[in-house]
Amino acid sequence: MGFINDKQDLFNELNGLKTVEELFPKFKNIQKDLTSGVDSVKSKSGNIVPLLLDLLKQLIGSNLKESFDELLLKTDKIETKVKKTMVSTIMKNTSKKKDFNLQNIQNPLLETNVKNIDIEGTLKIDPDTDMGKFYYGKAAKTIPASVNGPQVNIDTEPGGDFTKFLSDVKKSGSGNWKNILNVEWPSGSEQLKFNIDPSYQDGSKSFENFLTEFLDSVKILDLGLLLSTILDSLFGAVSSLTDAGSDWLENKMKLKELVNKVVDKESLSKPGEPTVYDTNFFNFTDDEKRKINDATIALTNGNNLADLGCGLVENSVDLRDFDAAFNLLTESSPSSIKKGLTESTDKILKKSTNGLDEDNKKTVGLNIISEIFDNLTTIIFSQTIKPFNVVLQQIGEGLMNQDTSNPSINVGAPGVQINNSSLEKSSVEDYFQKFRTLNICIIKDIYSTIIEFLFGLVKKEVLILLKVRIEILLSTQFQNYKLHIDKARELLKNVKNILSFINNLSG
Amino acid sequence: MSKISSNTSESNIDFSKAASVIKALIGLFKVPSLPAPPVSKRIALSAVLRPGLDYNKIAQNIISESSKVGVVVGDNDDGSDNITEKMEFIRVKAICEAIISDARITIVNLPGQQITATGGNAGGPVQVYGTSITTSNGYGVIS
Repeated sequence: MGFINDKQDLFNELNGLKTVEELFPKFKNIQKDLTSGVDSVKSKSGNIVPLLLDLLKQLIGSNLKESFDELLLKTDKIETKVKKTMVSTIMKNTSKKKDFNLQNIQNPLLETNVKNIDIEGTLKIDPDTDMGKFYYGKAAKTIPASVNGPQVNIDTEPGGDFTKFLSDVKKSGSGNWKNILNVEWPSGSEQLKFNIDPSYQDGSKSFENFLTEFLDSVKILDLGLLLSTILDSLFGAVSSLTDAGSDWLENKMKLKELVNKVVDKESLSKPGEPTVYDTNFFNFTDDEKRKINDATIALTNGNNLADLGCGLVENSVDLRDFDAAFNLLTESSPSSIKKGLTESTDKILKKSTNGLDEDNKKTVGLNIISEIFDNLTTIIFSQTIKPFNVVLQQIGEGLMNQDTSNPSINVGAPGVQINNSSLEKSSVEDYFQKFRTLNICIIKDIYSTIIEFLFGLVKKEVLILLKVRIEILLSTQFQNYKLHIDKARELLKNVKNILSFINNLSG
Repeated sequence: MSKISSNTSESNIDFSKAASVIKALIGLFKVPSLPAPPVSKRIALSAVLRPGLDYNKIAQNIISESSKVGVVVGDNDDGSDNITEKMEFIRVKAICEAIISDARITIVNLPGQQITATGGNAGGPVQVYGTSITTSNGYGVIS
């Protein structure tokens, strides 16, 4: 099979380069860890993250952890891409109405049940509890409320978690998000209304302006949330804190399976050709259901860590261990964030490799980082299944379903109904399928950015190896040339000696 | 059904497609070819005095070099012969013999070689100076 042979060729090339280099003591500065027949080569999966990780393990070994921290510090690039995709997908869906002015819209923009925008059920958790802080990102800055205005007022400074804002609105009844959106959520009700702020309807803003400015005003990839999702993907730690721990974990495993299916299909499709999905693609087969079930059980019991070589690790991680590191992540200085990130990943590795000897710790540490990298597309994608995005998608759906191209009527559609009570299909599956076009685009954005990052690391290391290879080549050529001269000199000396000997004989 | 279009980066690698990334990775390993400097005529002339291929000497060198990278040389711990060393002699001998007896060397002289020739006609001896205008072939043996 060409695909697998090509992958094998990669490792042959790498091993060849490294062997040549290691035979020359002068250039012996790269770790020896030659392996062949790694699983990622034999895999028929289109996801090539494991392949790139195996290449990197041979090239940079334990420095993979630093690369992981480096990638997390660069998530702004992914966030920008994802935001652009969200705007363009909604605009594509509502193309007939893209030029309309917000001035003409009558509020509410969206009136819906909370279950239709809070797919994961985060808003059921109080952010002010010990458990809650792992479900919410950094809160946006608030300003004092006016006498008759909304109770929660958010400053226009960019960033902040929109879900945290909604949770505050749930408690107080009303809120204003950065002079863009007003939210009404009567106490005890499940129904919410989203209105465009009157100051935003000054006649100068288009719907596209609204989408872009709203998305620019929220923080999607909050490092604290990313790390708590990573903890969940390894230990099931965060989900285990909820009453419905195993259901939450199962939803996460379902999401992982859906993301993997999309990555596989996209990656194996021909470059330049659009990939066609039918609706059945997103329904799980019996094998996939079994896989999800097994993965949920493994995560609950801590067996996934045992599979990574960690041995018997306690699967309930005390999240208080991560308090200090997570607090650093909420600070604004880049050095604190970097420190918080390093501390968090160090703690994850320490927690996972406790009780192992030093040699095994290194190998298992690499396995853990590889596992996180492998899950990273899902981990990052899960940050987009939050109310900030679903609200926009629901508003987009509402507009799309209007007959008129100039919606001067109330577009406060109820949005797409997300099914969260069916035993057949969870809310995550239902949401994923109903908004599949956007979700596939986001997954592609995230996956390709991760691949680009890993490719860049491989490229950098291979270029170092090639540089060494060329130095060896030049050095060998020079030595050969010198050898020719020395040999010629030696031969001439012998001839001279023979002639001198003959001369002596004849004399 | 929904259709999703593909996205390609500035480097022309479509990072969302496995085939595109693997092709780019294989491309990374292509080592540029560096021609060795030509051997001067004087040095080449000295080749006539070279001793010729000696498989014993080559095998000894291989065994000596391999000991430097950790290969066990000499008799085995139980005093028996080291088969690997014997294999090295057999291998090198077979290769040398094949080269000496089967290898064919074809030499091509390029046009533009300076020539000096003598001849004669009714007027007496004639000396010619010039350059060759075609290629010419030659054969050789390896010893």
